[in-house]
Amino acid sequence: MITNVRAVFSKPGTSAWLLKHELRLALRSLGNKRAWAFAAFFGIVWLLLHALVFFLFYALSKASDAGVSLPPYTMQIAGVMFWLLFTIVLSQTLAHAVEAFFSRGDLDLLLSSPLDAKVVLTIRALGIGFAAILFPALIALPFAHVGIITGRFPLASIYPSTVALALLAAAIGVWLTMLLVQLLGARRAKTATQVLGALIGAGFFLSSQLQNLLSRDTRAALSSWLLRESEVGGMFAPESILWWPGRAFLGEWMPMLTFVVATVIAFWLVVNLTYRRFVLSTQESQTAPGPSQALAGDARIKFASGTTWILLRKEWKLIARDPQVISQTLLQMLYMMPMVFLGISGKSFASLVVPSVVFIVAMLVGNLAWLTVAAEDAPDLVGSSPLALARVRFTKGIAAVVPALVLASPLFFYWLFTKPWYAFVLAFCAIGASINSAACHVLNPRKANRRELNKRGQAHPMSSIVELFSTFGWAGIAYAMMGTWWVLLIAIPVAAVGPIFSYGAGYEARRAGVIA
Amino acid sequence: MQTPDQNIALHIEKLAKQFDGKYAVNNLDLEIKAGEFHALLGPNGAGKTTTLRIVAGLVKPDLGSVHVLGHDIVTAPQAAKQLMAFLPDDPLLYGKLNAFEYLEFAAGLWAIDADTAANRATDLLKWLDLWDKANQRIEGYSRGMRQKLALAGALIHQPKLMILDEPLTGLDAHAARAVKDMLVDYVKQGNTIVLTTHILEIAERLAERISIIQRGKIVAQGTLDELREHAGRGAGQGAGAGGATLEDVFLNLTDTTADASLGASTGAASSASTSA
Repeated sequence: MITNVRAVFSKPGTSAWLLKHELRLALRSLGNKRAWAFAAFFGIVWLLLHALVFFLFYALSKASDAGVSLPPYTMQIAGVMFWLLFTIVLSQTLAHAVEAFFSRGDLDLLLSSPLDAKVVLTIRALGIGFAAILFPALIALPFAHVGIITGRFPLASIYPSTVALALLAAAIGVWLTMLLVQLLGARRAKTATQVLGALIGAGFFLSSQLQNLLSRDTRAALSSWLLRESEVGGMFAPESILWWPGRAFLGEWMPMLTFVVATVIAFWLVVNLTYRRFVLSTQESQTAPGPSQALAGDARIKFASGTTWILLRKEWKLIARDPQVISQTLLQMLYMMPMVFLGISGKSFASLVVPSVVFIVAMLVGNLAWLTVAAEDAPDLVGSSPLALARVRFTKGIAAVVPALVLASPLFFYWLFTKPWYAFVLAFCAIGASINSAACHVLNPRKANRRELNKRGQAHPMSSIVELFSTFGWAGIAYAMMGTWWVLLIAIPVAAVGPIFSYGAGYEARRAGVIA
Repeated sequence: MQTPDQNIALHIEKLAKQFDGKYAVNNLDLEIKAGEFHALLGPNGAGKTTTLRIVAGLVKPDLGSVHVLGHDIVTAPQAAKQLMAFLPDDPLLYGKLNAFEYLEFAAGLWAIDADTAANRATDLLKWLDLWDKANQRIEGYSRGMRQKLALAGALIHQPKLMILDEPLTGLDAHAARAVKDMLVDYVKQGNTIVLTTHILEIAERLAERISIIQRGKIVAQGTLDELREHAGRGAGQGAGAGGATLEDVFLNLTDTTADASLGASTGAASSASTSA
């Protein structure tokens, strides 16, 4: 049997063979370096998760024996959890779709082979779904394993339900990507898909924060409407079809069967309806030129002057034109928005808002500094120029700091006229934290690939941890300045760790004249 | 050690560089006069690119010295780099910039005045047939267009010494001819070019002198005739005959058995050098 399966997957040119190739790529996209160390680490965490689930089941069983019944709205909670998980998986699917459709660069090879384009799209979509579902599955599967071991056999439905979740996310992800391609063209769709993925990923968090913006009366009215709709016959009642996917995960066979069949049909429909668009769009993304305006033969061009200004302009243009950066920045800004509203609303816990904004600004600077310093696209050009590399790195650090501070400036100006102390603390700490984050990269230059922004921590985990630690230090300084002054005793040394570590760790690289 | 002077465009002495305990460049000596078109040939992995990257200031040597028009690349890198341009074999460009923006940046690195840079960029883009696409982002360029743009970037500050690693890779016949003509003109104006290539016909037709590098050392150096003679003497067979092509000579000199006969003899290299 195993030999037969192996034979099917190793026969070149078959769908199974292509699927094997796709899964291998999906696994490798998680990180190649120290793969065994990662596998061992996750293996241990996974075993611990099984133990945790085992104790959870044990506690539930004891509670049940003691006559404690399940809390009300259990089905609704399970259903909401499913949809929360779904948005995260869908967001991941869209990120993987951008990589698989626009960046990987192997579609020319695949589509010029005798393989049917529909098969190529099917397998690619499955690969996208698999990559997106991997981590949620690692969390969900221990429930199935422990359930089966402890005699809760219906929980085996977690297996088909997880596959169905991956299929649904892949189907919707592929459909949305192709829709954006149709509406905007391949080049713009790449950016739009990244942004949409970020919005969907932040959607649940943002909607959960909406209540902070509502008046007390509106909140009360909303709560009573939700309670009413959660009763029998309501939109959110336990028997509502909305919760069927969640119930499928809990082991109810009818919802599970329906969920699996529905997702298979959805996946089949998406592949069959979009594969032509897929072929056209991939060709377009490979061959279509970028935005261009024809020039007259005698047109005169004008260049900017000043080396520093030219360096800054180049870095900002590259940041502004990078869809991945835009989506990441947008995501960080979206996470900041509820806090901004809290800060403006003047509630008692607003003193936490300033440190949070400082933290997010510093994280943003960290990302941008990684891009400007480490992910230099043309190191040979910069390195062979007569500019001192220390100056180049310093300017790149400035290029990372300025946009983040500009994004935080509206809040600063608002507070300047309403709460000047908040404005002062924000300005002082945001500038300090930004310089700190940029310094971590400027002092410790390392070569990186721009496309790996999402997993920048994997290549140099120690540097990333120290940078994060230091950023917490600056958030702590901001918190201390909001009234809890003794925190400074801890926060200042913590904040200093980043630059000190980076200075030492980057000494050799700076001495060797590494640009980045 | 000789005192470097301005008439010597490139002076390399006892250069050595190791990677992971293996010599990429091993005790390499090379001197190229100002105004010379010099080709550096060698099999894959011979140390050509490492040598050029050291000359360009991108890699620090373990031992030895490199002087560019009298300036030491290690102790006075800014002065040396100001006079030189380096074009790698697979130039990495900024995909999200257009050609103007790229050239504006390249000129800015060498602190060229904005108006002068704009004029030169216009001329270069027109001459390299990139003007019509100059507003398009580089990510949409073909391999040949990228190569031409990188060349424009190397030329925009009008360097005295150009270090070109496989400059004609990816160019179509028209573009390759245009670039070859440009390089010849460039040398006629008194500038110096050091070029590596796998297309021996280019070296044969363009270079005044040729150095052959193998296992990190120069094993022969001179004009084509001198190399023919040298190869014939080293191998004791027909490669030294008057009709031998550079390919014959190259294969003969870089053949493993021939290498053994030339061996560690830098004398082999110097015999051609001195006679040159």
